[in-house]
Amino acid sequence: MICFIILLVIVDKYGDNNCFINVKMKLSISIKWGVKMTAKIVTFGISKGGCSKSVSSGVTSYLLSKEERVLAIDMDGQGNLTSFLTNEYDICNVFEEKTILEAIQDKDVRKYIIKISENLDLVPSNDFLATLPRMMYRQGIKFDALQVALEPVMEDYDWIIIDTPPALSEHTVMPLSTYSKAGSFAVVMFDGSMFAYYAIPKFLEIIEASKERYNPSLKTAGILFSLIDSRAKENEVMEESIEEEYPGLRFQTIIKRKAATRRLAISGFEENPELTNALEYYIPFVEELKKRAKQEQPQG
Amino acid sequence: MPSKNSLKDKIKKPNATQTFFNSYEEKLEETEKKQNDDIVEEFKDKNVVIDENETYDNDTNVVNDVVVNNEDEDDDYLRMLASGNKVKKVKKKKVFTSFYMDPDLAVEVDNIASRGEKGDKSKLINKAIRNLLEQYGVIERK
Ligand SMILES: Nc1ncnc2c1ncn2[C@@H]1O[C@H](COP(=O)(O)OP(=O)(O)OP(=O)(O)O)[C@@H](O)[C@H]1O
Ligand SMILES: [Mg+2]
Repeated sequence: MICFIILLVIVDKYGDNNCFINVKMKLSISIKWGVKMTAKIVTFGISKGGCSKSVSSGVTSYLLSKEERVLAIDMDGQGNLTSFLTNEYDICNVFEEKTILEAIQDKDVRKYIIKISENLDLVPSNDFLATLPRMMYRQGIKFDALQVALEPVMEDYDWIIIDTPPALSEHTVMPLSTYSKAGSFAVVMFDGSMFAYYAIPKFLEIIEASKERYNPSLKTAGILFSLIDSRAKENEVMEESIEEEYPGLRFQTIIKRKAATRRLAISGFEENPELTNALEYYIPFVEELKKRAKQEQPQG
Repeated sequence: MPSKNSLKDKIKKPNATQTFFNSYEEKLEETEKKQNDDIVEEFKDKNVVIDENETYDNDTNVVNDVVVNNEDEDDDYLRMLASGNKVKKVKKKKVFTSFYMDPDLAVEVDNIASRGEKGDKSKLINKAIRNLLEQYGVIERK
């Protein structure tokens, strides 16, 4: 074990020129897990707007960071995850040229990581992310670009959590195409509506295509029911329909619509008296996600 | 009555996901062709004859001698994958489509494909259907 620690220090000292704190932090986590970890990638998506992708990816990042190191990445130009985690709404000015767009262009994300809390970091976005497809075209950037940019930090985190826009676009396909040897996963968001119901097979097809062409080890972690009204009569029918159509795919946890959850965007996570209430349904979901991500370790 | 061809176009019309991914495949083909042309040009200067059917590894620009697009080699390659080995291979352009599979087949196919690299799942499915259609006499044996 001592040998192992010394080796780690050496590797860290020469592997990157980061500060000593980083070495210490990695050490404590490495000792805890016995090995140096690689981040698992989880992309939240659905090509239907307003299904709680941003809130769910944000809350999941927060909960995972209680015990493990998390990097959240905002791949949506709306910057909702960015605002959710930083409480900053003037994203165009505050994060001008400090976003995931520049990180992809620079092929290195490190300069663009901002600290949210002890174990939670974020690469923000703003409206300029709309220019990503054009940039890819002009500079011959391919769908492995996010993977390239993340390469230097893959071992600094246990989880990389990515929020995507509600569209079939480069912003969605690029994270799905990002490989990690610890596993890449997609969480399909579903708000129980007809519109979202018909968006599910389309999103599953995007997952399949990304898997087939760019990231063979990508897995669908599951379909997450969110924003569900406790009183809606059609809930049960929707649950059964999803179970019949996609057996075993849905998460057992259902995230119900809650005012306290919605208010997280105003009150944040620090000193929030209703935090426990706001997170109620997300705690069992994150446990399920962890379990599925562990079971579904890719082979080879 | 619309013409036979316009009806055909309508039937064959790829959906949005297929069109999105195919558009990137086409772009990649263009760049590959350009790179190949560049290499041909380079060799022309040196008075060397090269076979344009050879495949180039897009990332390294190196001619890869195990990679010629040949049915028998596909077979050997898939056989190795199926038996649990890891092999390296470069793929050719395909048309993206989707269909429903029997769950037991889907599991086996995914297992085999996860040992290989991108495109191997398609390769396996193509191989299987090609064999069947040859047997039915729909297409000619290569
Ligand atoms: N569990 C919940 N309870 C109550 N409100 C919620 C819950 N989850 C999300 N919301 C609210 O629903 C709205 C949509 O959520 P969110 O912005 O996360 O969806 P989205 O899928 O990211 O949307 P878009 O497709 O525009 O990116 C927001 O106003 C958010 O605050
Ligand atoms: Mg959003």
